[in-house]
Amino acid sequence: MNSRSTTGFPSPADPFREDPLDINSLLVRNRASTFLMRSAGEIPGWSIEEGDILVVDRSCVAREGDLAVIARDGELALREVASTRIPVWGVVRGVVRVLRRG
Amino acid sequence: MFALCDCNNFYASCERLFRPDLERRPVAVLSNNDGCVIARSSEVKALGVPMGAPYFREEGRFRHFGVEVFSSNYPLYEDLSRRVTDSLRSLVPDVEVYSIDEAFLYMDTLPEAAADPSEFCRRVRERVLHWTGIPVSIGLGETKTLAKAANRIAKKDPSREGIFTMPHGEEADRYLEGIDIGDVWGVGFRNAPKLRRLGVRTARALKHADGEWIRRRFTICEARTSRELNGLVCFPFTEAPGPRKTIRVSRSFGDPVTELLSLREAISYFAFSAAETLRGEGSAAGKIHLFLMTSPFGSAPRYANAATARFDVPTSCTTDIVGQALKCLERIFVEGYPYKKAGVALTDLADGAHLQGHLFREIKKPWEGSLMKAVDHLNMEFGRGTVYTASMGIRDRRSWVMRRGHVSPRYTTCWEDLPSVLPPEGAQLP
Repeated sequence: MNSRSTTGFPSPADPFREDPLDINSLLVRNRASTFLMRSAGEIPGWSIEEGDILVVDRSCVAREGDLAVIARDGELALREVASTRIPVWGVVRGVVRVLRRG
Repeated sequence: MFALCDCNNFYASCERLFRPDLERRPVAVLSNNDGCVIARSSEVKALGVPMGAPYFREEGRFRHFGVEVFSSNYPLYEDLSRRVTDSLRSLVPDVEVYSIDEAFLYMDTLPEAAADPSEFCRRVRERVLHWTGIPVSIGLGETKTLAKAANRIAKKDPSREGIFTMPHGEEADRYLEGIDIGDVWGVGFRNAPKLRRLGVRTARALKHADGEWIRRRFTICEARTSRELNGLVCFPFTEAPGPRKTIRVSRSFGDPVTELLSLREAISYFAFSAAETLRGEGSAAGKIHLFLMTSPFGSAPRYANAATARFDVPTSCTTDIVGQALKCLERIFVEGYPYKKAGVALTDLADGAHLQGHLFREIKKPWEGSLMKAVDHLNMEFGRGTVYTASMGIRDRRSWVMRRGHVSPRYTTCWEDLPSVLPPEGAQLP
């Protein structure tokens, strides 16, 4: 029930209304540059499992300690950023795992 | 000042994005149904493969040179195109999307862009590449026609590093001299040979041709193009595209189709999908056109024909549209030909909200609108092809479907197709 559907009195909460949380706003900062990928294996130290969805942002500037996607032997692979001089495909901003199907 | 931003070998660049192994390797993309080559990476261009070359003619050469061949993957290209546009909009307020891989940028609204357009475009180019992985070239000029011409030079001359500004006035002539009249934006392919016959062979010649003479011998379009080459704006910046005038759905068949029944299925499918697009745009069609043709190659007997029908009242209802399409088919179908391509076009589009009634026909069946809404909703919710007309035939038994033998995953639009990323070196693969 919001003010647009009330026929009687406007809601006293109207001036305080905020948008509900949207998981996209947490994970996706830049829609144009964010791509989703699937982890092909377990990543020790990052609590990432095989099949997890990685949120990869190409517009992030890689910092030391980031988990980044790089091109390795012609394939996309993960790598912890130790030196910012190595070109990266994108930076992993988050991980998504769906626990219950259906 | 206008800029034209054009994605380099767009479809080939899209295919490379999630495939680092394809970097610097020859990549070719084929048209719907794997008919001809519609995108070539620079390596494929260097092999001398022309745009539009029939695939069956190039197959041997492709195998010999290890060319990576892809069927067209429009969901991927469309998604990346939108990302490129969004990246452009993040820097430039005025972006006019011209096609799936080109956009005009208007340089005069932003003070920093107007101050040094070429330096600004360098930033634009870097951002698009950084954000989307798609390389672009940008041409700058006083008019759209000059920007388009400058873009050709930006792309062809590697020393320009993807940016070229067309100089003003007479200084532009030496660049325009190198551009064939057929490659000038706005010169119709029908008029190019005629212009050439009359001695107008290059962009420079059209620029210096007498305006009155052009108007008399050609159309207002060529006259405007000539003025634009002189730096006079005739085609201003227009952000919102005009309403569409035609909705067209056509395909080549995987294998030639000879039976009327299969053709009926294909035509119903095209009409269904055109009607869906029509409703999506909130309009209604006054006329339907249907065409049918055999292959232009080979020694098989050839036949091509088209038919048109008018609706009593403009309509967006699938059953009306499919029904008329099938009536058109009965009129032009001739038994015994191996049909290779067919299509449906809806024209005389009118805004669906204020439709004119027809004197002698009852106003639309009242339930039609809600039925179509329900169909569109189901197809949106449960995937295309959930609800369809019986005339389209059973989905898995359609003999006329497209051949797409080399299609890449829908990396960005389908959960099952997400690109896979390997663990860090040293970590265990399962």
